[in-house]
Amino acid sequence: MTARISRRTLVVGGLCGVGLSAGLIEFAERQMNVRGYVQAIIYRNIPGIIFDGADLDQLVEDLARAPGPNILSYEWFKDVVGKTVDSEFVDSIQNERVRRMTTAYQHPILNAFFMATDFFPEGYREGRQISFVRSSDPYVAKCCNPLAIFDNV
Amino acid sequence: MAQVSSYDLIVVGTGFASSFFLRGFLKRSAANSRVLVLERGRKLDHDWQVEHRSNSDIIHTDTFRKAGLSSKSWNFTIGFGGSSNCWSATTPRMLPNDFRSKSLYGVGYDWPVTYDDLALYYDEVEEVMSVSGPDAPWPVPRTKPYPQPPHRMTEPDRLLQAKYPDAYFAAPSARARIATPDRNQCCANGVCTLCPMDAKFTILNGMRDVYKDPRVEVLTGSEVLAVDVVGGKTARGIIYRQDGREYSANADLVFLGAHAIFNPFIMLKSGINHPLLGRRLNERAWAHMLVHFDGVEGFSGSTAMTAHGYMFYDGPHRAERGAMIIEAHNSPPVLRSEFGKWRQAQLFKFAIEEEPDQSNRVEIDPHDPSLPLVTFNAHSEYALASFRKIPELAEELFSGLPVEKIIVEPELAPDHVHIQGTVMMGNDPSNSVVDDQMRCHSIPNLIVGGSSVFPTCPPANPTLTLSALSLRTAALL
Repeated sequence: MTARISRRTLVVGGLCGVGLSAGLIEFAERQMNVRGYVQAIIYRNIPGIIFDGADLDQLVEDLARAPGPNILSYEWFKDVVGKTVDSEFVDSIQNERVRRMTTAYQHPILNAFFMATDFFPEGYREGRQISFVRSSDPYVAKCCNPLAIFDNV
Repeated sequence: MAQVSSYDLIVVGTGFASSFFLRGFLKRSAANSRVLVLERGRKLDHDWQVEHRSNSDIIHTDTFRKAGLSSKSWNFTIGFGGSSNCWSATTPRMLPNDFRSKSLYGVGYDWPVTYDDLALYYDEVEEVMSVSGPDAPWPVPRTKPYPQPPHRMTEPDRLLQAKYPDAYFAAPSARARIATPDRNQCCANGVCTLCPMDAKFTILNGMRDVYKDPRVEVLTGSEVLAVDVVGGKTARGIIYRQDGREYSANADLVFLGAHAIFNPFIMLKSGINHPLLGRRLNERAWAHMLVHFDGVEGFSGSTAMTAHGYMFYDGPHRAERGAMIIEAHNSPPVLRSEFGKWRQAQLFKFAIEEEPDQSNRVEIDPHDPSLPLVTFNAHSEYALASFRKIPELAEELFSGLPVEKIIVEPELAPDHVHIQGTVMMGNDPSNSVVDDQMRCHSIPNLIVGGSSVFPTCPPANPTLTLSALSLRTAALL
């Protein structure tokens, strides 16, 4: 049996499709923006290193997965990052309050980068490709402190 | 109300005080003795806690009402194992002079016990917890080494130890330096309040055998409402609620180990009166300081908190202001943002001795008598005088060392997770609620354990001392 699609269904379905597409695009843009933001923070503070591609994606996912309020989930962040994206965007922010908050959030992002990558174990070297190694969340990674030294006892 | 049964001992709570008392009691009691343990919370194992990222399914702030200083908070866990679930497992002993602050400095009270009275029990607690601690010399008298070797200190720690060889030591801790049959090795995650590795000692991982003893019956989900007191002089047993129904159980001896908020609350609900009952609520003041070093990298220790500094602890200054112990924190790393200087920092915290004040108190909430009302008005001038001195002392501490900047937090931390006072211990019934064996002066078969009995508030973390007090009391029964 072939069902006939009414004109109303077509209209509603079409509108839903447009809405869904818009939502997906917005979501994708936001993810792009978050990704760009995290990358910009890292490149801005540690010039010369290379951290992108799948490793950057993993870090962004890791940051976003942290339970409770986290540095990628605050509404202000979505607002700020959703509207300003380029590598110099922190400098370009005119609103002093937003600039202050955005700057403040650089530190936890950098901290997560240091803890989740091979940056410290392999050391800083200009031009070196940095790799994502483990989650910076100790409840995911279990042991996640690359700086601690245990010696043999 | 349903009558349950009669016991030789009823223990209220399953935290450190109760567990060590029970351990001591079972060692000495007959094979046919009977013990009832009542725990308000549930038994939630480590896997449950990690999965839920919480020590308990009871929100502790719902169990009391707070008044006074709005920035002050109180932190504890209600559940099997009590605050052993959320403690950070740092285990210094108190100094011998901490027990004589009135005699030596004219401040507060002398304890009715001395360091020597507790030394043997300190040893036992450290063995049970498999404490990691420094090699000799030690900051306090000891007769034998710590059960586990010291944790690795950081580079800034080593500089400070070289400058202060008699006052800077690897911190003793029950965070395993070496894995034990019950615990993994600490890997310095810095989230000790819920260790993902199960590396710190807890009642759940280290003393569960005490509760498996065939003489012991454990009832979880049982909220104690009152001690059943007869004639104002004898504890007949306990009245408690389970699944919405009230029960009573009788015992020859009752041990209250419900911590410094609920011990006095239960006693007050039981009609026990004393001018000091519920009074002198306190915990150490806590100040944070971040130090940026020049060319010295931090965060290379093997545990969250690596060292203790005693240089501002004991001395004549205690006549005027509180003693301070310095804690060196290694993780989670507080990294710097400046290029290349990321690791050149370390966080230090000053735990400051308080002078307990009677106006800080626990009482029955007049608006809701089912809750304790916890009032803390202010830190003492004794503690604040030391807090104000920190910038000056920090300059002295790091003089001659490669330091770029010292940043002292301008406000005290909201809590120190060491709630004390409220059921004060002493020899004189007119100015104390319990005696040197923690027996209620007016009701000798009611023992009150934990840091609620501490007459003063020295800066050393209280857990080792309150556990040793429990063992001593059990040994002297």
